[in-house]
Amino acid sequence: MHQTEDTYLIEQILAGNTRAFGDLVDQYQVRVYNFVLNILRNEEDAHEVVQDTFLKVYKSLNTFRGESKLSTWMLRIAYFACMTRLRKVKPVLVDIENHSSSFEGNNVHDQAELGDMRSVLAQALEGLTEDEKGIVTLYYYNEQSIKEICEITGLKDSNVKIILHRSRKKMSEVLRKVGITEWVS
Amino acid sequence: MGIMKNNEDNKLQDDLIRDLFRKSESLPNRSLKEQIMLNIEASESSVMEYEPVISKKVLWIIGAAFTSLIAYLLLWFKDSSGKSYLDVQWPSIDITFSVDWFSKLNTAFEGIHLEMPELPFTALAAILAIMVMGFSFIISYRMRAFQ
Repeated sequence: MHQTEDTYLIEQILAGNTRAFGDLVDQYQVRVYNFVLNILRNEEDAHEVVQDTFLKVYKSLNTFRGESKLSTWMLRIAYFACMTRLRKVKPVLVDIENHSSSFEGNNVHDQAELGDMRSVLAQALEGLTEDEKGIVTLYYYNEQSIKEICEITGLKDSNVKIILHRSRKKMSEVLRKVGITEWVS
Repeated sequence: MGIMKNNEDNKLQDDLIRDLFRKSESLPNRSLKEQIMLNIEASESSVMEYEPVISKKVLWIIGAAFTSLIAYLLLWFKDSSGKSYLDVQWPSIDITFSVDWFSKLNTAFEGIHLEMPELPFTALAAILAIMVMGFSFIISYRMRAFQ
């Protein structure tokens, strides 16, 4: 969404137009949901955190100064909501080796036919810490720049680059193990 | 040459991971937006300022009238036989300076005679309950509405 459209929506919402907030939810809910889901790896928790995130966005919209993109600001709220949730609930760890073995020897085409991309992604993310999950999702899925990721997470530029490098290595290793080296469309 | 190869590998891995995220995109429940909007509405209504139905002034008038009524019934009201509900017969107290003031004080109050009114016990209990509820309401009203 363009910055001007965001600005228009914000003005409408601040003027008391609740329907405009509905439009904002329509625009961003999928991106925020997938970001949260990739960190929490639990649909129910993700739905709750997304609800909390949008409620907080609504309540604090008057404090948004427009110095960053609205999406970046929203993702920052979602990121900290995830971290708070993770501090409260201990995540269930999954053994990657056992899970990846079920895909051993399959090629990309087979995987696509099985429609099990989410399972592959789940395996690739399982080996990452919560911070790493968040940062790779921001970079690869939400298409945020390094600078924007720093704004969202509060980490330094160099730290984000190191985390991205390390995560890419870990994820590539999992993809290689399950036999994915390129996509066949 | 090695660096270039490394960069190419990184680029390929980036593309692979980016595609994996894109192809794995999940859709939230259809009810998510509805739930968000309900939360918004609920938060809007919860921030409405509390306005008491009865104003502070009226409540004080009601309280004073009620207390006066109870006092009148207990102290001055007389039934058909001309008896007060609460018949207090004060003794003549002779308070003079004495070392034995404590025993004198005791003797003085021995003369107080309280006669319970001819009211059914349930009526007395009801009056007492109303008084207790009234005072607790006044206290909570003052604490919550006029802080």
